[in-house]
Amino acid sequence: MAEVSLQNVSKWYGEVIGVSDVTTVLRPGVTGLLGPNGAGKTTLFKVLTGLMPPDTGRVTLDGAPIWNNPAIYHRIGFCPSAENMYEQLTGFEFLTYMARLNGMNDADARERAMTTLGEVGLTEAAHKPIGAYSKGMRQRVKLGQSIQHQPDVLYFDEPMSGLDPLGRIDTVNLIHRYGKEGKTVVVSSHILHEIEEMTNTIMLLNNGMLLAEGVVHEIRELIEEQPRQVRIVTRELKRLSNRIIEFPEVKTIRFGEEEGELLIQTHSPDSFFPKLTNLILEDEIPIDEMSTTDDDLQSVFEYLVK
Amino acid sequence: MNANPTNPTDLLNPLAALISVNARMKLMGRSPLYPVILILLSLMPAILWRLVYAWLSQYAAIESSMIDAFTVYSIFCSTLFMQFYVPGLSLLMGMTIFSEEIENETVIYLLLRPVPRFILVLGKFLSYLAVSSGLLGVSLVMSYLIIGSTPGAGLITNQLDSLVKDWMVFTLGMAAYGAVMMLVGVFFKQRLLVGLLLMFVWDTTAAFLPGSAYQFTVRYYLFSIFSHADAQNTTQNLFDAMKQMLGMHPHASAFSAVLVLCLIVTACVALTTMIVKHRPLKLGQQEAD
Repeated sequence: MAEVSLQNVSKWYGEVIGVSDVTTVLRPGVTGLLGPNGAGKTTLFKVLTGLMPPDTGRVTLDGAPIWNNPAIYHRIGFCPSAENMYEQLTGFEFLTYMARLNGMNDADARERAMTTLGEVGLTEAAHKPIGAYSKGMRQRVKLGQSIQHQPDVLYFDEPMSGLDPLGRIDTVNLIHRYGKEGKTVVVSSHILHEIEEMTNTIMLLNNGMLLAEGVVHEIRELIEEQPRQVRIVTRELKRLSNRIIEFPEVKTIRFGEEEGELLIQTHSPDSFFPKLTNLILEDEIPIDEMSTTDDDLQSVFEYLVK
Repeated sequence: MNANPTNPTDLLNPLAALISVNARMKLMGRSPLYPVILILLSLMPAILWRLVYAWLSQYAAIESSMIDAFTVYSIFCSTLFMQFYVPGLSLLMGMTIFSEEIENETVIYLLLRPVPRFILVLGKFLSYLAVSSGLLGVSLVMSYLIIGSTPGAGLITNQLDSLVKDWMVFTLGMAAYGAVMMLVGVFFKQRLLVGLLLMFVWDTTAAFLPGSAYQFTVRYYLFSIFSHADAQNTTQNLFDAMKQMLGMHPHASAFSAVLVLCLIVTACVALTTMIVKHRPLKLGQQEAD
């Protein structure tokens, strides 16, 4: 059982914020780290794994500092999102190499490498150079190096990236298994339903800030509560806007930059859309385009920041 | 369960793995032909010498007693090996010892392991030294055989101890130059330019500068322990003339020269460790995610 603690952790790249004042405790079980691209997920992982020091704050594993403390690194496994690997080594050689760096002798390392390759479904490709692996196979071998030394704490940075459907199922099962075994597992993604497949507990990160921690359904509620933006392009802009503004469901209405573009924010999309449909049909207003522009996580993050 | 590789006795496994895997990657990484091509290129001058000698003995009626094979070998060592092969190979292979890992971000996989950073740097450095010294050794022995088996010039079988000594001096040179290049590789962004300047401009011209600038070069200490005293007087005279021409200063003692070269290696490995320890990913990673 391992507990990772972050206290007021910040990391900057010059003037760019990587992680800003994050305080949390990661406990046994699976936690999803959710955030759009550029949110600071990878930076947070690098700080958590001791690859980078925080500029301020403190990261500890069961009370022991992580930065510059290789003695505890055998308790941590990290599957990075970076694609680069040792292209000329085979999957088997790579995992044997990593196992030996974890302190195993050659014979044990070879045995462990073969077992791990089996776990991640790469037995048949074990002796092929990594340079000849597909993206999914590379993802599997990266996964292998993170789990083969049986760490207490596991970090997976976008582990589903590049995986085929079968690989995704295997990975989800693997992550579930480690969570059930009492390991502290953190999985990142920018896609909510990916995280939902693996856990109910999530952390929301945006612009380096930890916006919220909780269970997935609370985030779902936030998505439902937040105003939904609707974009309509019509040749009868004035007539449509005059009618729509009367709807109580409409929070704001404004003209867009494009000709005939109308941008509407509504709190109640469920009642707004049927009303809008009726209006268009009854008044015979020609509609060229209609879309909702923020039916994704980005709008949740923006909403939370506000 | 894993051993704890931070215990001194358990550090041998990671160190052995670092040396063997990296030596193989360095040797065979680009192509299995890479080391063969490097050795063949280094042998071209010796082969050319044999062709010229064959031509001279056939058409210019040169007598074998006029040329001593060991003298020719000594000239090869002092010019080609000392001036070009040792610094050139160090530049080529030493500079990428650690910088390649940082650039490719594969350094992540090393830094995640419970291995002291010093062992990571030392292991990679020793793998470089094993490969470069091996390549140079093969090249040296083959050059020795090619030159020594010149018909009529006599096989230089009685100079094997000199061959071993030369190889050791060159290995020490590869260690010192390689360690400096490893440090340059992780410290400077324009590492090739800095490396070329250090190796082929500073190291050769410092001897001509006033004061004791020459003492801040690897070459000075390397030449201090490089000696072919057993060769004919002509060789010695030739060396002396060459040293004067190159602006060489009086030798340091062999002991102090070896000591300084070892100190250079130690200091560069320690400084590289510090850089890898404190800013391993700052060199390559600038994005915020």
